[in-house]
Amino acid sequence: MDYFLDASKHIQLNQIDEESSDDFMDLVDPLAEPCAVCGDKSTGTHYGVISCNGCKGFFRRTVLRDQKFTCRFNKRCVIDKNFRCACRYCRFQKCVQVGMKREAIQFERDPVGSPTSGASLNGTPFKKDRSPGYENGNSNGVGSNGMGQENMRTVPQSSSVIDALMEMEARVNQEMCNRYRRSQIFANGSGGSNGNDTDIQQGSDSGASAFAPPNRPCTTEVDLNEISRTTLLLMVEWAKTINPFMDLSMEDKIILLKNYAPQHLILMPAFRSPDTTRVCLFNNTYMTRDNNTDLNGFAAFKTSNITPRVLDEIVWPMRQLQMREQEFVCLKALAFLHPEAKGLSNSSQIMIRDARNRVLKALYAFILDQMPDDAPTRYGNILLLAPALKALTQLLIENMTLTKFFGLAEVDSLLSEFILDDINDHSTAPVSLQQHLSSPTTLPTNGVSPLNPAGSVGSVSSVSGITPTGMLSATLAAPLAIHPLQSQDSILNSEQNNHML
Amino acid sequence: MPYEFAGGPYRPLCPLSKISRRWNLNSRGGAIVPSSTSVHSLGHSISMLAVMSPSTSKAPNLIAILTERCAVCGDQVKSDRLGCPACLGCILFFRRSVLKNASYKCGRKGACPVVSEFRSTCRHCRFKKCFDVGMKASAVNTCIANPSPPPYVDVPKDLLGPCVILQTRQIEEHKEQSVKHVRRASASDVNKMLMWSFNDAVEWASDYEPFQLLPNELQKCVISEFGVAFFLIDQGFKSARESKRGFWMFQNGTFLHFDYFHGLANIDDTADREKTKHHCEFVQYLEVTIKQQFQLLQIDEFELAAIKTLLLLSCSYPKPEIFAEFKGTMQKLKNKCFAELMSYLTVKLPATHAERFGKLILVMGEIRAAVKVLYNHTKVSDLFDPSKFNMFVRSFLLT
Repeated sequence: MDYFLDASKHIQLNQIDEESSDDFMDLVDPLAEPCAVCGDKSTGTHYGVISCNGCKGFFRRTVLRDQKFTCRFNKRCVIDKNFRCACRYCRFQKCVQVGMKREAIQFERDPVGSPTSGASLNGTPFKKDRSPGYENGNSNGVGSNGMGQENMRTVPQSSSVIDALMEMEARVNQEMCNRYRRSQIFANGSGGSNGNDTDIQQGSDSGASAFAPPNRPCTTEVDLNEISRTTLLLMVEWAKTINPFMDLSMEDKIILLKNYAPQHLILMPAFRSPDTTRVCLFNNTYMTRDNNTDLNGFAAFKTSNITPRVLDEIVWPMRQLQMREQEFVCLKALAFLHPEAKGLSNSSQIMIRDARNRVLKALYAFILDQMPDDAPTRYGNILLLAPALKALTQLLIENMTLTKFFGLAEVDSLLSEFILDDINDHSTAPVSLQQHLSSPTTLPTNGVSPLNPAGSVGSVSSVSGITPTGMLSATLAAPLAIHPLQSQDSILNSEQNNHML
Repeated sequence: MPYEFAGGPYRPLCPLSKISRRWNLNSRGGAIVPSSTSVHSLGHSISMLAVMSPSTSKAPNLIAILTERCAVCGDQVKSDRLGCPACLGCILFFRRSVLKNASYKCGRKGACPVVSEFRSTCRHCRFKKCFDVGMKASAVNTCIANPSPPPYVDVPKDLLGPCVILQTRQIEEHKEQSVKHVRRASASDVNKMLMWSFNDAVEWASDYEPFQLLPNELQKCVISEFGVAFFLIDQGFKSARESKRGFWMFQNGTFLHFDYFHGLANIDDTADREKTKHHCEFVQYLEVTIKQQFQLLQIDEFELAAIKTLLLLSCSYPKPEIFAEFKGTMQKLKNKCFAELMSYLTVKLPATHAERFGKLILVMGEIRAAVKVLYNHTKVSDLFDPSKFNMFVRSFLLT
């Protein structure tokens, strides 16, 4: 009895103390200002906002009881002194909007009602969970050959599917590093006659470590086109190692490659990027979020809306998950093996579905082996990159279509053939494209890359200056099987058959 | 002491009312004390006590307590149990701070004046002065402390179960409002189906707190994509179960066929060839990417609910970082959804649950691509022409 009376007095005094504490919080008279939520006469600063007793109590009750309201109208109800009780959803939204903070509610001081009804409190207070994203270092972001070997050694039970994918990934990366190391030394050597020794020495230093951090922004259109071209040529070589690809017909091969090419152009730089501030490209340049000032019209238009979304939707989840290279190669294979691509034959669809099931099973087995508790979570989060990648692919294709249509910049012919659709239906094909299509018969004998002469004379000379390896000639010969089919020529078909044999 | 005595005559009216209230609360008899100066109050209380109490031993103690000031802020003394005479406000403040093991920060130089009118301005200086005047933390009684409330559970125990129930009810509502005879869909049917889909999507998303706390414009951005996804998922589910090859069923029982003129009463020879071609490509695209996938997978209601929930929770909307404030909550909800879906598939398909899980996630990519294809189709189609839709549907489509 005595305790109950004492508690009653405590509660009443608590309320009085709360009022007095709010009165002098800002050392300014808050009674002069109206309530920020409903415009009524305010009683001070409550939960960080000058408000009246009604809105103060309403906010506290809503948070303590964890109530959820729905608006019966279109969520634009007027909240003023007369109609603030009409819609509780809009009133609560306005409380949050004007700055009322959940954290300012002192839960131990403000039970709802008297202590006898406090036992029937059905709500729980809300504590907002803000877990910051974990930024990973550069060494984990890029997979090297040694790291690949280490991973394979620590996981001896990994599937043969992942082994094959990892081996081909290492080979493609090696080829990419070799190519850009030579081109970088060559570029540095031809930079200037003064201080030639210093330039060559610097080139050697930067070439020695293939995964040095990117040292300059991507500033020219030639950079972008060159990277895209090389990436696509190596992609063809990579696709040949995927199991059912060589068994498909020529039409189905082209359909799969065209479907996968833009996703490849997004995935490769994304995995290489160490954080969410910039996308790192393979020639040690990078593209930041606001990259408009450096690049000219085409590149600025092309990358201005894609780069931030690549960083937010692809790079950030990869770093958050600390994605391993085994998981990355499986994701690439899943993006490539697309049975619903437009125009595939039924037999090809069945083969591609079986291959995709094998990759899915291998990926889940790998994740289950690494972390058995969180396997469904990690598996799902990795696979969720595929829908985001598909959305960005549509954006990339749209950008390139608009660029080509409006003539903002000259799109590389190889890029056009890989990414843009229905190029044969274009009745007014440009002259350079027709010349390019009519001249592939000279390629097997010369071994010269099918480059656009107007845009990359330097690249042609640099490529011819390098001793071509077997891999390089095989890579350059790969598009031969694809380009002749575009012109539907029987002679080219016979050429293709000879090349296949 | 001399400072407090000197400050007496200059006290403003507000603390007087506070003193009156506390005096009223302290006395058990509920006596009414008029507003007057402290000297008069003391005299009045002394005379009352002299009348009520026949014993002369208690009077000196009460008089001594009433004449003292709070050592911290100078207010009316309540008790000296914590080590020095203190008012009720400072006693409770000290007790709360000790129990919470609080550490406050002073926004100024750490020498704020702690007087009864402004003692709440700086908690750091008030707490420091409590210790300076001799309050002891050991004297605080710890067993009467209020228990802290349980932490907020932002991820429900069963995430997908209520979604399946909601989905079943929505599908039942579609059946009740279906047309009596199957016929080809018209522009008004498209408008009605979009209205149903947007309402269903809002109802679905309202169960999640991050969506509720978004401003209205951002909510509209979310529904402009999620609602169209609802449109395609529900129709794909119905088409996969009920329709033959070449047909795409709407929720209300009407259909689209890849032949533009199939189901039309009279064939219009002057129809635009480009328009019929776009129509054919659109319907075939929907059939290949969504309907055939649902047919091949034999997708059921639980998996359908999981796809809908994951489409809402995975952030790939036109405006960047719509749910930027709720990244942690969204990640927890997503992980919870993955765990529940994998548990369900492990029971349903013990041998191939990993492949089926992966296929369901990859189907989401098809649905998201189809949303964009539908938006592109609104520019070239007469059935999906936004100018024929009502204001509610247009406000979402033109976001």
